[in-house]
Amino acid sequence: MRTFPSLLLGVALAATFSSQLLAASHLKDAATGDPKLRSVGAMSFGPGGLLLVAEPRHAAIVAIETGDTGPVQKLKQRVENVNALLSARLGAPEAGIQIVDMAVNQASGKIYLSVTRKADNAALIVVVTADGQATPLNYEKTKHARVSLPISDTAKVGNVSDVAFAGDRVLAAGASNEEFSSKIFTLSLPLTHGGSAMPLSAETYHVAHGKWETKAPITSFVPMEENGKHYVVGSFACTPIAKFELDDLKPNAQVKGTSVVELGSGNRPLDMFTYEKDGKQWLVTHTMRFHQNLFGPSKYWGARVDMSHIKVRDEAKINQKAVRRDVKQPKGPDGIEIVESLFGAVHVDKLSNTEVVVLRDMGATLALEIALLP
Amino acid sequence: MKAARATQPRRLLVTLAATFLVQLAQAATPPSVALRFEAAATDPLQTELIADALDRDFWRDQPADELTRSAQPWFGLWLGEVKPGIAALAGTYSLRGSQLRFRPSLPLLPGQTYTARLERPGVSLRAEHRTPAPAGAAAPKLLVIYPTGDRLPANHLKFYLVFSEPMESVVFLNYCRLVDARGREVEAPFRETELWSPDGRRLTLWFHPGRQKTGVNLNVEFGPVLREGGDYRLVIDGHWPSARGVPLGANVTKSFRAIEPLHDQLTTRSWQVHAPAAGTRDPLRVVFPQPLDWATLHRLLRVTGKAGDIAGAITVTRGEQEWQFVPEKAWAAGPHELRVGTAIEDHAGNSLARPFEVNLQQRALPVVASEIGLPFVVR
Repeated sequence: MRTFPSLLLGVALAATFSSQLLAASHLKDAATGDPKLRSVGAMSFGPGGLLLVAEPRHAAIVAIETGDTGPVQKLKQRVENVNALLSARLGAPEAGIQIVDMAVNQASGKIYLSVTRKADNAALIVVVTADGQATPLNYEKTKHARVSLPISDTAKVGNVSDVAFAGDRVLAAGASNEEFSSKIFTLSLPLTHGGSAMPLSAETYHVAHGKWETKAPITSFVPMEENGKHYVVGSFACTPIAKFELDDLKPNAQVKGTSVVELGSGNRPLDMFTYEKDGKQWLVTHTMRFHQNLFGPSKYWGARVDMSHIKVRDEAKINQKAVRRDVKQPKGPDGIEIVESLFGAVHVDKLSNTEVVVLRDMGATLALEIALLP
Repeated sequence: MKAARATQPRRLLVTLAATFLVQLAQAATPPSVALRFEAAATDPLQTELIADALDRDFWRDQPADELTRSAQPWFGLWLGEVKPGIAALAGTYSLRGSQLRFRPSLPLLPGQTYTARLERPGVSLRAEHRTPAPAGAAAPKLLVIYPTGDRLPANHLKFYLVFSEPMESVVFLNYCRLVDARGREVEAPFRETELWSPDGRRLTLWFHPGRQKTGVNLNVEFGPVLREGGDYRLVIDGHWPSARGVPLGANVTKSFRAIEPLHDQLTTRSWQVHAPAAGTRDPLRVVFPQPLDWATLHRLLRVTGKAGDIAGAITVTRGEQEWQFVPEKAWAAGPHELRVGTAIEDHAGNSLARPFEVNLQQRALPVVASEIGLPFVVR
């Protein structure tokens, strides 16, 4: 799940009064029962137990009002072998399931996994509770809305790579499986079941690499607000972390992203979230590297970046001149640090401002546990 | 049990003795409870586990919802053997008269053995249930890899892998590799984003754009994936299983030579449009000076006549250098138009709308419409 820093207080207050009502207000003409997910991919939580699920192959977002609104009961102890647990619960051989993404409901502490049971291609959401039990999400009391992403013949951008609640809207990122193209979709609230999203989207371009400009396929992102303006901070398949203004997203507009942080070539940022500690905001991203392994035991590792690097406006500190992590040091430059608790993290999501849930690569197995944020 | 039959006429009663079951009753005689499986008539994998007690009082004070929440329930179903620490299948429990029923959250899988267990004071029961073997265990096939040509630009971007059936997803990077002429594997050549068609049969396999774009960090520090003049083999591993778990069987290899890179924006100026004869269903043929992207050729070209869009079938041939269109009805004489979506790309991502890479130090690119028309006359 992503965090929208400036909305935290509002969301928390609203949740206090009526989180259930809040979630319900985000769906229109909602359907009940099993949404019969056709494929499962990226997931993210909004307020009031609103779970956003991408159907990655079908250009759709399914918003599920889970009714999971707390109170918080955190995972009591590490689950040593998540694949063994899930396969047993889903009646499949241990190699017969695939975990696609993970989202933590901060309101309840429950951990949601999007899972594919390979043998019959069943697309599932499995909920891990505080006692380490895993159960497919029960749809008996849930409501949902399935919203299609607009696809025109000239922009077949259907494969959804990420989805997030952004306060006054839902954002989704999609890539084409034909032409070299990707888009950010803006879905207005409330999300209408059977509806199609407003195509407030645009391809993003980057000028981070000297004199050359190309389209940039976005892979994951986190919404951000600064001085009343809404931004998307995204990781891209071939560029550093970049941001662009949401207000620039207009149909067919060409949006130029601003590169703000370079984590080091060969690192692909995966999940992203923000948290606050001692009055300071941090962006956490974990990445998978394909090249040299200077720090940590795994190709998966994570870093935190002082949000002041993300919010930078100074022309002398963006694009080609964006701050670059010192790849030979665990820290530095100031405000960029490797987070040791994220070594081996295949998926991460924020539980609170002090804790993160980590699905960790243990070599032959995947473990699920809560780790401390620095 | 009669009641169960009466209330659920569409379900097939599967008896313990007649089918796949071994039951070990260690209880005092006569047994007060027995296990059985009940499969739906239309789908033998939609199976419920039932514990039939002689008397409904047997289940007194044993709420079913506690079982639903428990990973190690005293009554439940396990894949394979029941082992300590191995969780039971997830599902819901319900009490109907003297029957305690378990319905798994998901259908059972074919070709598996499941074990039911019931443990109560004085009663310990086991029952095995073997599901039918999966139908059609034939190996999947990699039908074709596009582009079909064996000369690709050094800044080539993507392949389409078309399979005979849906393949296992999220694992494609484990089964695709690029090997150079010396047999050395090219390091990390592919974009990690997994892009399947909705039916799971077509994977778009991209070279990493960060390696193929001029001046991008990966391109500068690690170099491009392909070197002009080099010979390469794209190898798809025969161990890659289908979604059903059946591997391809043998490696599939596509050999090609990397030739001069393509950097120019496409133009239709040198496209040859061969108009068919009126009154025939001869194909309209469009010949391109270089191979174009196979997928977008199917989606972004259409033909219009006096009455609007003309229905017909598209064929892409000659190494993606020729597009043919056969109309459903004979051509009418008169003016027609080939409508061309400008997102059509060559193998390096250059489209009719813009080149893949734009040099910002040169003049700005003119804006191109999303579709343009190429008129032709049928005589």
